[in-house]
Amino acid sequence: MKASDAGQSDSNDASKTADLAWRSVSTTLAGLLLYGGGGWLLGSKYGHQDVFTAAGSILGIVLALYITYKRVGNS
Amino acid sequence: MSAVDIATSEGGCHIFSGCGFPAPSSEIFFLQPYAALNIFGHEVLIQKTTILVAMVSVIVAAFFLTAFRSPKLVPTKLQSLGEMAYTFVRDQIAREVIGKAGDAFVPFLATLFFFVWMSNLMGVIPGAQFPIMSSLAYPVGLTLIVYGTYMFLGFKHQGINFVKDAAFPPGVPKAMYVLLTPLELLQLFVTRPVTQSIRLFANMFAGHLLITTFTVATWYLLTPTLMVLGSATSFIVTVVLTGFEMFIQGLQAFIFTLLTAVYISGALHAEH
Repeated sequence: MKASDAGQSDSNDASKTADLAWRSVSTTLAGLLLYGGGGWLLGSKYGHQDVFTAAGSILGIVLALYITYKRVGNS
Repeated sequence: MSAVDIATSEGGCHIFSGCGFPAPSSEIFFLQPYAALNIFGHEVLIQKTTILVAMVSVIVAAFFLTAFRSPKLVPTKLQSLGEMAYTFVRDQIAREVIGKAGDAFVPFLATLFFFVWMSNLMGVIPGAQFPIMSSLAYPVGLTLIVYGTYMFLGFKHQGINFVKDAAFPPGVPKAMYVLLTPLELLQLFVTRPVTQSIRLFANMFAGHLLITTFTVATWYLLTPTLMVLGSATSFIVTVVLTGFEMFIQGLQAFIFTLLTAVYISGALHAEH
């Protein structure tokens, strides 16, 4: 059984899309953990923990979206 | 006592009998150990998943060993079934994602796919009725094997560039690397393997919880009142959900193996 060339590239695209999609999930999670967590730590030291945590989380999500945007553009 | 035990306790627990609905919660995933072994000073508990995972290993191994024990040019029924299973993984996953080099990884991918699929199927097989992958330790163990393979192949084929390519995404202003590189490293080494295992675990966990809830509801509403209609509906939903769950079980095994193939492919050749 041999897949036609067209079919092969279609399915290859599908697996790449699945990878991109799941990678965006883990990138967002990483952004939240790293910068949200960083904000939480800073806040616990200098006060205004809620503000720092929120600002860090937003920064993390924005950066994750930025990477995902660049990655999709490059693929 | 778990919800299932309460629902089926002596005298029964039904609606209008003063017994509240025993909604199943995560306690149905904490199984009672059958026995405790002492191995080199460590207590090893034997419980349902221990036995099921051993059974699944034996079933998968026995199936392929018998199917290919004495391969014939004109295949027997079992042999053609085995060939179908193997070529499915080879053509749909290995060759499609990795290409010709993927042939070397078909044994690994096929083992992974059929092990995960059979483990998930245990959730709907009468008598077993517990998806092994809804115990977090099993998906985590499999992910460690997959990710170990990914890291080993990546460093072997690309050296330090393997991490460099991931840490410094192309087409980004250099100043952004201060913020992006730690994020990409965390993504590569921590959150990607975490999502890989959580996806499989959470799907099996949620499916099992749903089916159990509707099964308990069927029993709970089974009274000589109008509520018997609710019981019948719950029963139908249970049957439909079981069918849907079987689809999800195959799908999750497929996507787990597919992403493994994508990782292997990414480790063998640089992405750009």
